[in-house]
Amino acid sequence: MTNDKNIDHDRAELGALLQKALMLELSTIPPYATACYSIKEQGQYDRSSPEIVNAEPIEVIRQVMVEEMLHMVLVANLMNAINCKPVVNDPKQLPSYPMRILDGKGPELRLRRFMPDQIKCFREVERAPKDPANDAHRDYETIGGFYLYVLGMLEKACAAHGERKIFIGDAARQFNSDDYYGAGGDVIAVHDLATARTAIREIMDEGEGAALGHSACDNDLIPAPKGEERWDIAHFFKFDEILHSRYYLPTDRLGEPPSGSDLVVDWTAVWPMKDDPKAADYASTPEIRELSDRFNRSYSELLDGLNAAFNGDKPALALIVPVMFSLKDQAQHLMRVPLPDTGYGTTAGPLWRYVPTTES
Amino acid sequence: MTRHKTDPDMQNDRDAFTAISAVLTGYSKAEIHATGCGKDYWHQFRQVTPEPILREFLSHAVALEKTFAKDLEAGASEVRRIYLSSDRLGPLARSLIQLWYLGQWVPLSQDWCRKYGVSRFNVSKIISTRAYKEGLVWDAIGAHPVGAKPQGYGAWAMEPPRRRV
Repeated sequence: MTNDKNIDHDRAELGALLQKALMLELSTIPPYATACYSIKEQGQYDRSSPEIVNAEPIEVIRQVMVEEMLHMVLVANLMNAINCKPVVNDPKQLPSYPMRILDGKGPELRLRRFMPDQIKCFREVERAPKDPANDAHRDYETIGGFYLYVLGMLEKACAAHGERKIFIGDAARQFNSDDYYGAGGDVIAVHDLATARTAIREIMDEGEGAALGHSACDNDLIPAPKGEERWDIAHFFKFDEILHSRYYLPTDRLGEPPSGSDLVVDWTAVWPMKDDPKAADYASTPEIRELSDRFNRSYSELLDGLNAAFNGDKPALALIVPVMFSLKDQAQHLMRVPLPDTGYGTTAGPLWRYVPTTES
Repeated sequence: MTRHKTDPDMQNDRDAFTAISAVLTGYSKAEIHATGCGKDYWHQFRQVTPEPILREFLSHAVALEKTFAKDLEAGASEVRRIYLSSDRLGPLARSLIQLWYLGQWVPLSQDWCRKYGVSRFNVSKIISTRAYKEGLVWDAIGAHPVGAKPQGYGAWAMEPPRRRV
């Protein structure tokens, strides 16, 4: 029906868009993680005693992070389904902070400690598109709008060339629920337009939820003790909950403040990490630089493992789980080290820089 | 002992304490800070150490740091000479090392207390939940604190992290 050149061109274009989506999802994780880890942990989140200081904001941000990681896996599934190669360890593409997402059209992402301004930024990142019709025509300023555009392009390509010619990827590269645990949502294996739509919808639902039914929930059930199941809340509203110190009820309507129970937030129980730390901040203190370099090496190991997992070596995903946990530990360590240059008023923080690893 | 927090001497004492802790444990000052336990340990250490002995214990910090920066061997022998072989400072240094590695205060002996002074805080205890989790021993043996800092499902089947030293 159509010539091969056209379909190759469309595939490359879709691949480039999805690669951008992959980087977009990744770029949210370091700022979210940094804010989360800067909180002086007082105790494990325990629903029977939620008054433990800051256990709740830690849990809320953690849930968002886990879902962003799931989104990365879903985008990788989309890419592999149409036979495009997901790349997560190319230094030229990796985020560097501060940065504006969506080619400078979106909100700014910075590396800052847990504070109201930072949570407001996060809320902005997860804001729903105002005018979905407009966003479908490449004028997106929100992540949701961007995904609408991606979906539109995918539908167009399928209409032009036929679904079967677009979804030619190796099914063995698809991640499903067997490969992934604690996902915070369904891992959807993608093999046609319908499953692609479901995957993109899930990413959008978990992010801003609201655009799709005018409620705060994201169509997932939060895992909970039997009989206590409740609907999960979209990211935008999760950050809103922290700012309001109050939980949303799934029945809360768009535009109304949360009306659930208290969420205890202590903005002062936070390590005073320097805003947007840079390598230059540690230049005069080799000991801190060593800790920072160690963190960057672990982060790079994580990205390399992820890259391998997305490109055919699925077991690599399980191998990087300990690295993920160790990053948390190392980030918290950095945030406790006072910076002499600032008169010990602020502490160091993780830089989240990729350094190519040398094979040993 | 009830000096104000912003007292400049206090800041210096704390710095000296950190420096000596680094020298005694073999970890860097940044790594000592990174445990997040410094404040609590300093508090514990001051509570059990009679003032004149505390002064003596801290007085070697600057010189010792300089020696270590120049020559590791010379530094180590200084530590042996000043602290470990001293009847007065030795037991304190050993308790401090165990504090950083295990997060637990190991009491000074009755003999030592009879000679140099008794403190009611000189009892065996884990300083805090963080102290347990941040004990240097876990890093030193390439393990994670049992019951804390989980490594994720299946991690037990993998090789422990390589030693850094």
